[in-house]
Amino acid sequence: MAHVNLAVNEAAFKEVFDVLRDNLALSKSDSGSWGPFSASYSAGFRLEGGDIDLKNSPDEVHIDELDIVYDPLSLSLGIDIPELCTPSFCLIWIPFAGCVLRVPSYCIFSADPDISIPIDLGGIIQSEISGAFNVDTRYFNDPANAGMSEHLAQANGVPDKWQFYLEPIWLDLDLIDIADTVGNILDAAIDWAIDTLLGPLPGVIKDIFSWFLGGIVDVIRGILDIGDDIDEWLSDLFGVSFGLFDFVLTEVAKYFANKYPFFEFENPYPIMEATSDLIPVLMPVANIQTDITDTEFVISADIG
Amino acid sequence: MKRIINRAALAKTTFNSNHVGVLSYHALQVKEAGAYLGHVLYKDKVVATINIDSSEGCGNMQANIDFLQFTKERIGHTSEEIISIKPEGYLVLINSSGDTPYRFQLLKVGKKPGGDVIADTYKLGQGAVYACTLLIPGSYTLRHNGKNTTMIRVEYPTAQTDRKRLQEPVRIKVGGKQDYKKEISVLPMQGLVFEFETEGSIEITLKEQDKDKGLLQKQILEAQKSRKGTQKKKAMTKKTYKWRNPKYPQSK
Repeated sequence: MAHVNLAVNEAAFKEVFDVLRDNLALSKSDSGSWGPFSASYSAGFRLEGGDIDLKNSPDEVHIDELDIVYDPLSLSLGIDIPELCTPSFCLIWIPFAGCVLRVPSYCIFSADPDISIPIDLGGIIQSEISGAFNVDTRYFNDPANAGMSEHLAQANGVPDKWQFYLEPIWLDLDLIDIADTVGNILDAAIDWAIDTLLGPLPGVIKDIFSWFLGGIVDVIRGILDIGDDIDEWLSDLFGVSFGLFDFVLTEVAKYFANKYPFFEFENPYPIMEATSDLIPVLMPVANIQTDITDTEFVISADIG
Repeated sequence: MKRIINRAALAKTTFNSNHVGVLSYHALQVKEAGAYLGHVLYKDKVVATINIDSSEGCGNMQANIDFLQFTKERIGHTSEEIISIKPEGYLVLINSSGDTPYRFQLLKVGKKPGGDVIADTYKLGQGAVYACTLLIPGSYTLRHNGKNTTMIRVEYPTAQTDRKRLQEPVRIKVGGKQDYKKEISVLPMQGLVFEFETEGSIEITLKEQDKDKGLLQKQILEAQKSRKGTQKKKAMTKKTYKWRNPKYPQSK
């Protein structure tokens, strides 16, 4: 039978978890190219909210509705717009021989490199993580106390520790919603890009250029492969093409599993603090066992 | 972003067959084998010379000469390159960027010092071909040897205007006894090919430019309106991305 039991209820466990959650801040950037269309993004993300549910048999910690806040989320689209060139046509055509002389084509308007459309998507994407965790008990042998006595190590602030990590068993990221405003944002961005590209040209030439391409807005949307469903397009771009959401999941898993323990204590444990005359009383703690019930997280240990 | 804008092309409103200018093309036939010289003239002075060789062994039916190459640095020089063309082949003269009014003379090297002038853009002879592409929508006058002949109307294209028409030029015979149409209609950048039946020159001048109709801006607004109309705000198909710890193979 253990000498000591330490129990933490669900509410207190949630408070500990909130501190851990709030310390996570990550960023990622990436770029890719798909024919005449390229894209790059820069994203920072953190976590908010989340509900904790302790589960008994199997012993697991469940987390639901952990919001991912993408701040910032900047996307830049690059598009290779066709040039406006004079058509090549037949100068001299001879019956039965066909065209024997053709004028060469040359371009009267082009842009190099691609036009770039910057889009701010901060606050647009709403997603949540849910998952189940096991409590992983580890012993941290602090290399900074090598050669020191336990009292010296404790006095120098480098004692060994028992640490408890939340080890993810599974995590799901649900893409909940993309704000309605994304369509307007994309429209405005395309509008701006066209204006930047064609700005210096007279209005008549802009109309001719657009007609020549078959409608420049349709050309841009065709190159980007945006159909009627902008939400679908955006989620595929980030989710499939860039793998952003898989990255988020992996980083969250690594963070909880290895970055910070959600709870730890020193070993040996100072059961009495030092005084001016006396050194602290340290008690070794061994045989750590953990248990999760529907209401509590319990640590049991032998001391002495 | 770097934009490359051919300003000479966008500003061109007058076309004169005397000159090799932007958006225009001259086809001069080299009928016989032999050595030729091409003189590029500006204000009646030869500013550049090109060597041309026509022989049976050469397979080129067409040789393009772009007058863009006659930059200030090259003015006064004879090109070291020899342009090869087969007899009965054509030199096609273009100016892809500038609109300096260059004149071109083709001379056959022979007994006469300096050569015999056999073709001159100032007087295109029978069988010569001159072509151009008008860009700015509006009404143009066509004059042949100084006389008004017909009107050319460059249409203002809309979304419904068929772009396939650009593949076929409009051909006009000039000189001789021609019954010119009252008006010829073309699209912006559609080829106009003038076939000379007698010696002469032509000039096309913009008389009245069409007003800017702002069609691109209307198209942008319509596209936005259409998108808002067709994009029903349905509940987004929930997508789930999963991560599983391989240490727990039975995890869901």
